[in-house]
Amino acid sequence: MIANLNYVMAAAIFTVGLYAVLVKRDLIKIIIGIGFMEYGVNLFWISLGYRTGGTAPIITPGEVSHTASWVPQTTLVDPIPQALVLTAIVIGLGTTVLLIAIAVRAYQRYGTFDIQKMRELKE
Amino acid sequence: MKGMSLIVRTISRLIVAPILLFGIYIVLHGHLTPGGGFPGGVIIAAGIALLILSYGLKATTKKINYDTTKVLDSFGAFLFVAIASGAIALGYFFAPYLGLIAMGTPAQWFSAGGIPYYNIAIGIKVAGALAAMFIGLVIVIMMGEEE
Amino acid sequence: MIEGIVKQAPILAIVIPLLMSTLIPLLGRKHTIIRNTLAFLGPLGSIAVLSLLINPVFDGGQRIIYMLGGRIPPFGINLVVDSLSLLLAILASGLTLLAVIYSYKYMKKYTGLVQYYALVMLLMAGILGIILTGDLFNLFVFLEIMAISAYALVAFTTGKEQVEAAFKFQVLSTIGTLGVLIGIALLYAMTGTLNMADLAQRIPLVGQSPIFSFALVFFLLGFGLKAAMVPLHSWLPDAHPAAPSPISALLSGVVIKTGVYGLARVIFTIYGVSMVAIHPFLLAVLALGVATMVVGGLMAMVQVDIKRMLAFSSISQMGYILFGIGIATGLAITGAIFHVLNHAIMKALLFMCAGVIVYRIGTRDMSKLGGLAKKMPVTALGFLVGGLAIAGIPPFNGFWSKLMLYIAGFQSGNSLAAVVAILMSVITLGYFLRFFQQIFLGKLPKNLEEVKEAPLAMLLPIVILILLCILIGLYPQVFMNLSQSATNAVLDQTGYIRSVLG
Repeated sequence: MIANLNYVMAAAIFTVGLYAVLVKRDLIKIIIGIGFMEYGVNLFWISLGYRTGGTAPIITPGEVSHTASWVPQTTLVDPIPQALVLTAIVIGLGTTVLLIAIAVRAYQRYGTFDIQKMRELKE
Repeated sequence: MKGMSLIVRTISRLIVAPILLFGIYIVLHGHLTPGGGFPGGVIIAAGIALLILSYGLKATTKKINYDTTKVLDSFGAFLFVAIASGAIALGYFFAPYLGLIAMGTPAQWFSAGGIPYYNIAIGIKVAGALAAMFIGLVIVIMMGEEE
Repeated sequence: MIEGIVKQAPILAIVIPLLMSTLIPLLGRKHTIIRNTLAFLGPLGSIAVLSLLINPVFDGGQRIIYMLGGRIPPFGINLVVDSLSLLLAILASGLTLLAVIYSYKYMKKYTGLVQYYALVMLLMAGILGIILTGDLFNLFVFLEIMAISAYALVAFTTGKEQVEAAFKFQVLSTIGTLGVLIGIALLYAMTGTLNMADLAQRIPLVGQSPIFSFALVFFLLGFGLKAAMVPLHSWLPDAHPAAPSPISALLSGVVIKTGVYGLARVIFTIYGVSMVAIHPFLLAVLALGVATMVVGGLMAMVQVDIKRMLAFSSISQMGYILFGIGIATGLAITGAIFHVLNHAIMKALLFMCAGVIVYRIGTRDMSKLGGLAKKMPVTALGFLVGGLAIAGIPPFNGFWSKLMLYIAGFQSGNSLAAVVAILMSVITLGYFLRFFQQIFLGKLPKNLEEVKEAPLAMLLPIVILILLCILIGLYPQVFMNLSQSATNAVLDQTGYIRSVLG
């Protein structure tokens, strides 16, 4: 159970974000919810790459032998999820900025951040 | 946005230059140390954001205006795609080409093929884009305040 | 020279629009002509590069593998061009080309067009990336590139409606892409690879596991949301009408098809039909497809806003495509792919005709229109052809793909679903004829007497699309063969693995 705590945490963060997106009526809170969902998924990815007792996957020149059967001496964590999460974080940044820009525009047009009031104003 | 008190202004005047320099350092050493184009660009943009917060938008746009950041954004992206296209034409993505940087010895600055070029392009792109995002949002907020 | 270009063709098809999207803001700020030329050259360049591959891929039945960075799969990212990818890639670049030509006049009154064209190029690069990539995480990245430019384009004119629609679109669509990302994470956790061919090879070796089913559900959630499958469709009727008309044509024409493409790749190439068929998963896709068909069609009937009606009709037609994927026999998938092609052409045509009305009259409310056939003969013809084609009336292209889907439905024993599909076609015909009559026939309102036909730059894409509708309708065999070879390519899992991993 303790070993799987980070997966539980990832699911919890994701669910909190989903709750905010589905229930909250304030645009900014919805954006924060989206951010939470992204972080939940990112934590899940990072947890996948973790190996117990693993170190940073840096291989120094003397250590490598260029044969197919070569295995590193120490346990290394999986670097691929880390690279992928970096990409996902950058994409998340772009998404969030665009959402904020749209929310600010919406505030200018409607004078409120509340979805319910926006709907009333549109009709 | 009007800017902040004298204390904030003095402190930021002192530290903005080192922040920008540190950002450039991170960009240039991306292939040797942790960091690279993206984190370095973010640091540079954060320095510009600090200037806007402490001195206000008007004083900052005298140094670097909205259009400049947008051009930097496009230029960085163009530089990246152009370098990558050249590398693809030569066969592979991290090709050591242009005759300037060879694969070199590891841990020297002149090494790692095209990677430093990519880092510089990404650094320009990210610094320009994030500064443009920040200035753009500030302009939009100021428009709202005037109304 | 030519040989070098052929060798680099898959990556060039993505790089050319990407390069244009960076060049347009750099060079196109001052001069409209430079901006317009660059925007025109992007899709044109992609089509030119992709057409070099037509011969080996369609005639030779080859798969062209392009290894990025020269790294051998599964270690590097690779691009795979098979018949399905090539068909959709040429379709996407062709439609983008028409949308760009249409935009020259349509978007003239707006400012910030440099960003507009740059975003269109980025949207196209994203679509081509999704279609051509052979790596699952790369697919996610391109999905986000496409989606982010689509959100920005929907919000482009920043009116009240646009801003609200774009926000809704982006929030729901982000949940969809996160669903895809979780699915990819689960597959990576089980197999330790992201390369599609390598995944296809390793999944049977790992054997049965509930995690695979779990991942499949997340893929269905994510790609289904992108494809506007019924319980997840609520963003589409807001987002597509709010966008500028050429963008609506692109969104309905190709962007929602990428969801179906992703779903088809996951089901047929990565999992394989036999692996998926263990669960009632395909039945679920079929049932959701039928529900999508019915809900979209019924909602389209009661609309007064012309573009909103077209958006609901898009949902209904996506139902047909999902129906074909759900049946998953050879004929059904061929029909679905053929319908993807046909629907892209018909719906782009219809949205462009609606765009002419918005451009000349400035309203989307159909109850305020009438008798426009005399004033806009070409637009009226376009709307009629598009409407008849989408309803599946014989001389037009929609008839053939729908016929294939009906036959496949009856052959596979899903007679009830096929009957519903036929019924929905009749309803489609009903509402399109009613709306045609309302807009183009009858009495011309007094305030519309000065209305003129659309300018030439907007008529040209409409005429091309009308001709395509008729041409495919008259000579369906060529395009059926293309869809057939695309089906063979997507169903041939072992061939895919062998050509990528050698």
